Amino acid sequence: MFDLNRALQNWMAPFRVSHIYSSDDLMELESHLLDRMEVALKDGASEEDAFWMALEKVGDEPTLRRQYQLGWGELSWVKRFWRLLTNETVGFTSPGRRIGYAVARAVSLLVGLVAPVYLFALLVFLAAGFKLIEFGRPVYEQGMLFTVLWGLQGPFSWLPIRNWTGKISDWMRLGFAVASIFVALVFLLVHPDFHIGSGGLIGVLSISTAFSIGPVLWLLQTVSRGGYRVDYDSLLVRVSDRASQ
Amino acid sequence: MLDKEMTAAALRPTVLAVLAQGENYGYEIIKAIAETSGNQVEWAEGALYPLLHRMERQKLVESVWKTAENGRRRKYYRLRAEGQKELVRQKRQWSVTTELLTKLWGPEPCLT
Repeated sequence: MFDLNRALQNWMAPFRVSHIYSSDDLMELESHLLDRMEVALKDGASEEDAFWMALEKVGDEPTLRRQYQLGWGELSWVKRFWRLLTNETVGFTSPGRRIGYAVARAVSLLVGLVAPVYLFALLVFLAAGFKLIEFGRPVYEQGMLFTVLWGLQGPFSWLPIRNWTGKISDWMRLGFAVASIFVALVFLLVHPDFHIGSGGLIGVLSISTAFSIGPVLWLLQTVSRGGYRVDYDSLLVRVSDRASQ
Repeated sequence: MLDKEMTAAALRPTVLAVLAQGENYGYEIIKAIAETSGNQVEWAEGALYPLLHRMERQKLVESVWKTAENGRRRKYYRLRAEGQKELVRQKRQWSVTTELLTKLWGPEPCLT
């Protein structure tokens, strides 16, 4: 039996995963679809036929994406970042809840950007405590162990920002690669004698920058393109399962 | 049936002209265009909204949410003063284009 609510949710699901559609946009599109359906229903079509006829006229997400993407591109970066932060597709009606949600997301992003540095420092001190690394020896001589510590902190540090997008794993990989090259260049070419305790501010800044490259690159591309929040297919399955309960 | 490029070019002045007749919402704007064109103009109707939003950012139109009799919320759009000026500008441009093409193609033969 045709379930209109489920059909609407399935149609809306791909719109909801992209930041280029605001909650207003989605409400408008849904209202238009229902207006279209009303006409078909008055002409005697069944609810299911009316839905599909309306859908063909209004268009699905891939059909409309380009036009909405152009609109996203015309927004200022501040406006785009604000929409990402407030996650406008959620459609909070209360300004207080929207602001609270935005603050929570900003904090989670900040934690995700800063946490790797502190976790890496903690692991380094633990390794030094177990005499696995020496503070006095240059880092590049102990590169393999630092690489292992680096790899250990990665998945745990970026958990807080994982909810921003399921695609961040691609950016983590890119970030690790870019950061590794960056740190290797700094340690080997600029400060070959760098060791923990001697680098001072430059050392801390180098490491912080290196760890932040992945999430920052992801954030830049998300703001630029209104990227996707979660994997579309898995979201569609979840929506369908929830609707059928 | 108009091709895509022609439809895209004509959409902006068309929507401005429909709104010049009075405040309206998305589906009714589409319906007005379809009826006036004899269904010669067709496009993914959802693409109307990005155009309306762009015109809103350009301060040509303004919008307001209203609740219809059936309880459904609809976003109504109306033309602003700048939108009226833009419509006049578009009319001038299309008049120039039509005149040029008429001169190049020759006038259509009169059947009466």
